[in-house]
Amino acid sequence: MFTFSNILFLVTVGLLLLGGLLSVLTFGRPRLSIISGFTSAAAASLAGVALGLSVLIGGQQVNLVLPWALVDNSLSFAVGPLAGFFIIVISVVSLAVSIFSFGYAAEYAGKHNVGLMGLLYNLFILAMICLTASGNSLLFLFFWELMALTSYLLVVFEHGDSRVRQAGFIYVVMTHLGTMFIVLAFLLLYREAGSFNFARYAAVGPGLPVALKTTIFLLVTVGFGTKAGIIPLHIWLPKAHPAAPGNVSALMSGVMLKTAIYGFIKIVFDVLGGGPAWWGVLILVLGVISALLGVMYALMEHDIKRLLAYHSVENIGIILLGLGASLIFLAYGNRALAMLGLAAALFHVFNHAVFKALLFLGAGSVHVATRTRDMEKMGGLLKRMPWTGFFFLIGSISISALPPFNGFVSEYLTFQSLLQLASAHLGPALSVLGPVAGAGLALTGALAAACFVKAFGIQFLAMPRSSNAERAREVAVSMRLGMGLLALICFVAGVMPASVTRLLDPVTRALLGVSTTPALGGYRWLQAAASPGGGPKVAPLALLLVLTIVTFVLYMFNRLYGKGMAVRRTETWNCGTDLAPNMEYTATAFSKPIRIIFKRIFLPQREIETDYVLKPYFTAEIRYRGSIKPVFEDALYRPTTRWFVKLSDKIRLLQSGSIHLYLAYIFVTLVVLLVFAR
Amino acid sequence: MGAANSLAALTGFLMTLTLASSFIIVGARRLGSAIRGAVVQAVLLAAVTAVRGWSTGVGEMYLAAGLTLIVKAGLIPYILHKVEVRVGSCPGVKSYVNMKMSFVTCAGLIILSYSATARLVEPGIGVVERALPTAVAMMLIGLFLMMTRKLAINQVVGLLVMENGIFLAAVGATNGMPPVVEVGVFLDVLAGVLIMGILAFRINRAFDTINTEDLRNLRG
Repeated sequence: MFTFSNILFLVTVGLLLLGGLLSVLTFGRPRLSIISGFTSAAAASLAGVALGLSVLIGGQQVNLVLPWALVDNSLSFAVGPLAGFFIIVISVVSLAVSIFSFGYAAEYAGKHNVGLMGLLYNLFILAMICLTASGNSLLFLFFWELMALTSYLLVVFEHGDSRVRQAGFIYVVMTHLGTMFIVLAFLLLYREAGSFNFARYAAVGPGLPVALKTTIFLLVTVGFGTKAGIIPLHIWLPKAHPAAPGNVSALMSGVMLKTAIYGFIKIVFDVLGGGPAWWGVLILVLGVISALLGVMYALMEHDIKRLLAYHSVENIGIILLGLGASLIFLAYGNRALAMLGLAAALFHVFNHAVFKALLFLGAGSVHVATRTRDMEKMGGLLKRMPWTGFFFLIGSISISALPPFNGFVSEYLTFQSLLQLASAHLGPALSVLGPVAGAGLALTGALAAACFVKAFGIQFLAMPRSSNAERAREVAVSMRLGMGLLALICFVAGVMPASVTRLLDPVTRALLGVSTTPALGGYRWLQAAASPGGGPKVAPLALLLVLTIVTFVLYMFNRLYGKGMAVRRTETWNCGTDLAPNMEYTATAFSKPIRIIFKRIFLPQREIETDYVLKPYFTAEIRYRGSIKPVFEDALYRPTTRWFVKLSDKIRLLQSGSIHLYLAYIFVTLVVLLVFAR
Repeated sequence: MGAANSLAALTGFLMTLTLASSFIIVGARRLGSAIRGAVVQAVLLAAVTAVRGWSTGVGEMYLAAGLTLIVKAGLIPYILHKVEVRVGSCPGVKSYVNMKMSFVTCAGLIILSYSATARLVEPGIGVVERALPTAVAMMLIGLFLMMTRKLAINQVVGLLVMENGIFLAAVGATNGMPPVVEVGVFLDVLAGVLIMGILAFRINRAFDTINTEDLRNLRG
């Protein structure tokens, strides 16, 4: 009962509860409330990391049976390798975010109830950790809903704004819709297993008839897909993330979406044990669509947090690519290659959690400093906030999948698993599908890079575009510390991927029976191979070395043959006028070429109004308004909502408001039953 | 044997009278007479209970009879009367269905309950045979009263008739319930009537009427 892992789990949960309680009790004194709430959260996160490591490296699983039962089941927590890995992901991110929050939450002190924020924040992390730790589907659903509710309340934390309330509403509706599908899947499994225990599910899962397995698979794909934000179920994401406070969006985008991936892997891999090859193809196609459309819509956004939210859609797509490839290999019985896809997906789960949280924290810092999220009003922030700018740059390079940071490594593995689809001789269709999906991923990476050139360039470079940006100051030390921690992890995981792939070893062994080491190489080489020793390799450490040497050589070359790094400071020639911010390249202009290339997808609309002083050459003012057609809202959600509203109006006739009519319903039912029921 | 037979006959007769007393309420033209009808019904119900107590020899039945007398024939009518006085002059009973149609419908309900319960009880097994249809008929009549009467106090009276029906079923079908249950039931009804009385009073203050038809305005 009281093994090391169990105690760590109890400590984690206890600290989170304590933190929430202390935070809300001291809400009258904001400083104290912030310190008590977020210190506990940070300490709990440390315990969570230790717990995950103890499960993965120590091999000691958590097994806690609660002393009370529900329905006919004992409720239990069981942390296996998969849950252990996700607990590490959650804890690492929440540790950094909690440190960041010391400074960030102070911005809310006096304006909002920070005690409440501390309570919800702690409960939110508690829900995420406990749901991954649940050994029982009822408990899982309980914490799933707790997570949905606390995150909803955090999204509407600044509820004075009607747009925030609307975003919260859409979020809560979508998440409940998704939960309904998950509940259905769990009940179907319960009917077969006779228990709500995941272990019992896993015992009967693989032997179920294919039709039933497919039903369950589709249900969990839709259910967890809603939470993960795969297209077309993503519409809540770009609304809810910007509405939430910065630290909360970092947690939501960084780790909350990943709990859906956890649920999906748990049910599809662990319980059902894979299925027909078309499951994998479906996930692969969904992944390509989400990745491509996600990044394209991100490019069109100028609200930095909406932009990042669309990138979450993209990255969930990339994770699905790995999972899809893995499912296909699993269907053909090639477990070694299935491991490659799964490891790529899980690695990307970790990486995306880290760099997306970093980017959201960066966006939060910029918001604190400039009071705006509109990129067109920023600019020149690098000189004013060098640290934030530096960390944001690291996040940008990571998400653009460039070495030597972590995004590169996991996308490289995903590429390899897609290319292996072509060379594994699984039939002509799959041989084509693999490279096509790979090409989609390549395009995604390129567009993401373009998007972050835009995001970084417009925000941090050139001249300030507004007085707010001009007055921006570097943020508090704790906020920089939180970002720095994540940036460091981006770097370490990027140059030493084996540190993560080794952690994945127990996970793939538990799910697929295949070890990640040495198949994925060690610290010197990262390789993607079905057999040890073979397959394409890449050496991240050597890459780093080459990069350092090239930089050094260029520097020395410049030093020796350039003019000795002497900088001549003088005015930029500008046709005789002064430089002004409105001459700068805007975010809209930057994304224009891409808007033109993909206009069949974006369906852009624009209006231009011109006021003249003297026609046609002297204009007083030109107003430009451009927008892209919200295809999914228009084609899918509006008609459905309209239909439901109409239906509800019809049903509402029953509710006349008259007591007598309500009594008459009862009376008539009673009489009819007495007459006809036999 | 003869004594038991005549006791059973007496019980049946009292039950029929109880059912018949519902028609006093159905036919009442003013609130006051409806409340008086409820008192008559409660007294008859207490009599039924007492006779059942005598014939089954269960002591608790007398307790139940006493409680019926105190609560349903005393306390509740008193509360209703107070509310009626507080609310002010009430111009007769308002109903969606006129008097004649009400009588016809209630007669139909009695027939319905006899035919419905005939499937449940075999003939000749004792008091239940009489008690069950009577009880079901009273429940239906009570519900019908609640449904058609517009004034809140009248609906409380309808509820009382329903409750009397349920009580009658319990008395007729069992050899006495545990005293805890009986006391609980009475407290339940008393609390219910109290709350409804207060509500009726409040409705009157807010809307200047206890006509529940006007509550429709509350609908959003």
